[in-house]
Amino acid sequence: MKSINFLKKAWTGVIEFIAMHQIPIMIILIIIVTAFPFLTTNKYFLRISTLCLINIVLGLALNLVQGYMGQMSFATVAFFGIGAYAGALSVMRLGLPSLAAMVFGMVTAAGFGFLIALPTLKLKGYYLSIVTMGFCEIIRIVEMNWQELTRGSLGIMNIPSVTIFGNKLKSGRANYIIALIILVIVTILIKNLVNSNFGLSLKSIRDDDSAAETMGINIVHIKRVNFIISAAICGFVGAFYAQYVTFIHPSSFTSAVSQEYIVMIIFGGLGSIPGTFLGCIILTVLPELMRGLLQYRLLIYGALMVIMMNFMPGGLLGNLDLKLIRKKILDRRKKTERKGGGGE
Amino acid sequence: MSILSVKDLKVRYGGIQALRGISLDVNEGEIITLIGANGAGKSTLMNSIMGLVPKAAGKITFKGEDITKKETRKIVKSGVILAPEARHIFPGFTVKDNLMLGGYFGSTSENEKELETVFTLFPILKERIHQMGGTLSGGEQQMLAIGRAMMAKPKVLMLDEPSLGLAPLIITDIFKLFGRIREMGVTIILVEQNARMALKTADRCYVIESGRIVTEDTAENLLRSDTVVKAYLG
Repeated sequence: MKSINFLKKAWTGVIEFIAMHQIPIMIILIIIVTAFPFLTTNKYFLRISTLCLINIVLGLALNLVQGYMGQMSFATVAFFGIGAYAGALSVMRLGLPSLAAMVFGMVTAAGFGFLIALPTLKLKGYYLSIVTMGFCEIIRIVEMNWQELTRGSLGIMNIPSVTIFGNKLKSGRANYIIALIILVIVTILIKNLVNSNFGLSLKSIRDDDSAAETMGINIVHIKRVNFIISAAICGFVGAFYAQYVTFIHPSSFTSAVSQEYIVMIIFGGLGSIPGTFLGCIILTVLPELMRGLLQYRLLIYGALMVIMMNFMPGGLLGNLDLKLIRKKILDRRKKTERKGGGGE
Repeated sequence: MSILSVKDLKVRYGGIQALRGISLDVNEGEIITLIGANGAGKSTLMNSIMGLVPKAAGKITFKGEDITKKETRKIVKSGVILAPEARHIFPGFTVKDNLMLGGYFGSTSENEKELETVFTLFPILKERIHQMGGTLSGGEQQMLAIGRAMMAKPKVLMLDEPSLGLAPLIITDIFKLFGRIREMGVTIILVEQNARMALKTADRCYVIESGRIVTEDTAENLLRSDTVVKAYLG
C-alpha cells in the first residue's frame, strides 16, 4: 500500500509540474517530435513512431465519440479500413493523386458513417456499440470476399507511396512528417471542436441528455454530425495508412483491433486530448518493447488494465483540467506567501 | 390575453393514462401554480408542453400558434422554457458553461448581456462562475437551473418543483425572486408540492388530481378554501 501511495504522490507531482510549465513543455515536445526523424536512421523506430502518430489520430477520432459523446463505438477500425481500401483503390484504379485519394477515403468513410448514424443515434446507450461491432465484422467480411474489388484474403499489394508534387515519398522520414502534419491538423480541429458551442452541447448530451433536450439542443442531429466527423477522420488517415504501408489486408481491420483503440483511450483518459496522446503512445510502444515476451505480453497488458481500473478508473489523464490545477497551485502559493508575510 | 393555452390534453404512458383531458389558460404576466399530489400529472403536463412527451390528444397554443406537434428545440426557440424537476444542471460543467448552454440559441454578445441579467438576479452565481456545477450547494444549484432557463430569454418560464430538497429559508429566498422575474416580462408557471409557498406567490392556481384539473381559482381564494387546505396544506 505504501508504494502505491508513493506512486500516487509522484504522479500528482508530475501533473502539477506539467500544469505549471505547460508552454515550455509543449515547445520542448514539439521540437523533439519534429527533430526525431532527423536524429535517427533506424527504419524500425521510424515505422513504430509513424504508426504511433496514426494511432493517435484514430484515438482522437474515437475519443470524439466515446469520450465526448459518451457512446462506445467499435467502428473506428471499420472506417479506417474503408478509408484504406477506398484510398488504395482510387490511387490504383482511378489514378487519383495521393491527397485526392485521402479525401476520397474520407468522404467514403463519412458516407458509411452517415448510414450507421442515421438509425442508431436516435437511441442512447449500448445500441451503437452493438451495431458498430456488427458493422466492423460486415466490413471485414466484405473486404475478405469481394474478390474483384479487394482481392479478398490476398490483400492489396504494391500500393503506390504518397506522392507530393510528383515526388514519390518512399522514405520513412517523409512519411513520418506527413503523419505528423495530419496529426497536428486533426488535433487542432478536434480541440477547437470540443471547445466550441458544438462541443459544449456534445458534452451536455453525454452528461444529461434529457436536460440537454430541455435546453433546446437537437441531440440526435449533434450526435450524428459528431459521429460522421469521427468517421471522416478515420477514413482520411486510413487512406494515408494504405499508401504508407503499401500493403493492406482485411485482417488488420477487425473489431478486435477496434477494441485495442478503445483500451488505448480509456487507458489515457476519456474526454482528454493529452490523455489520448499518452494512452496511444504507451500502448503502441509497450507491445513493441515486450515483443521478446511473445504471448506473455498479453498477460502484462491485462494486469496493467486491472491495476488501472482499480486505482485510476478515469484513465491516466481523465477528468484532469490543467488550467484548474494551475489555478489551485497559484492560489495555494498566494496563501502561503500571505502567511509568510504575516509572520514577519 | 392568454399567452399559453392547453385544451383537452391527453397523455398516455403505455396503458396508463397520465393526463385525462387537461385544459388551462395562462395570461401574460401572470404567475400561476399547479399543485397536486405525487403522480397527479404535474410534471407530465410540463413535459408535454415542452414536446418531450408524445400526446394522445389535445391542443397547445402559444401566442395563438399551435405548438402541439412542434419539436422541443423549436418550442424553446419561440420562448417557452422549462427548468426541469430535480434541477438537472451539468455537474461537470462550470457555472458559466451551464449558463451558456441555456443561451444555446443566442449569439455570444446577447449571451454576455443576458449573463449580467442573471447575475443581478443571483449574485452568488457570479462569485461561483468558474466553479463546477456539481460543487454548488442545493440552493445554488437551483438558482443555476433557474438562471440557465433565464438565459434563453423566456416568455413563459415553467419551473418544476424548484423547492425540491431545499431548506425552508432558501426556498423563501428563491420564491421572492419570482416577482422580480415577472417584472422582466416573464410569465411563470410554477409546479409545486409546497402548496402554501406556491399559493402565496402565485396569482392563480390549478389543482390537479389523477390527470384532471379539479379546482381552478385565484390563489387567495384557495388559501382560504377548506378542501384545499385540508388536502394540501394540512
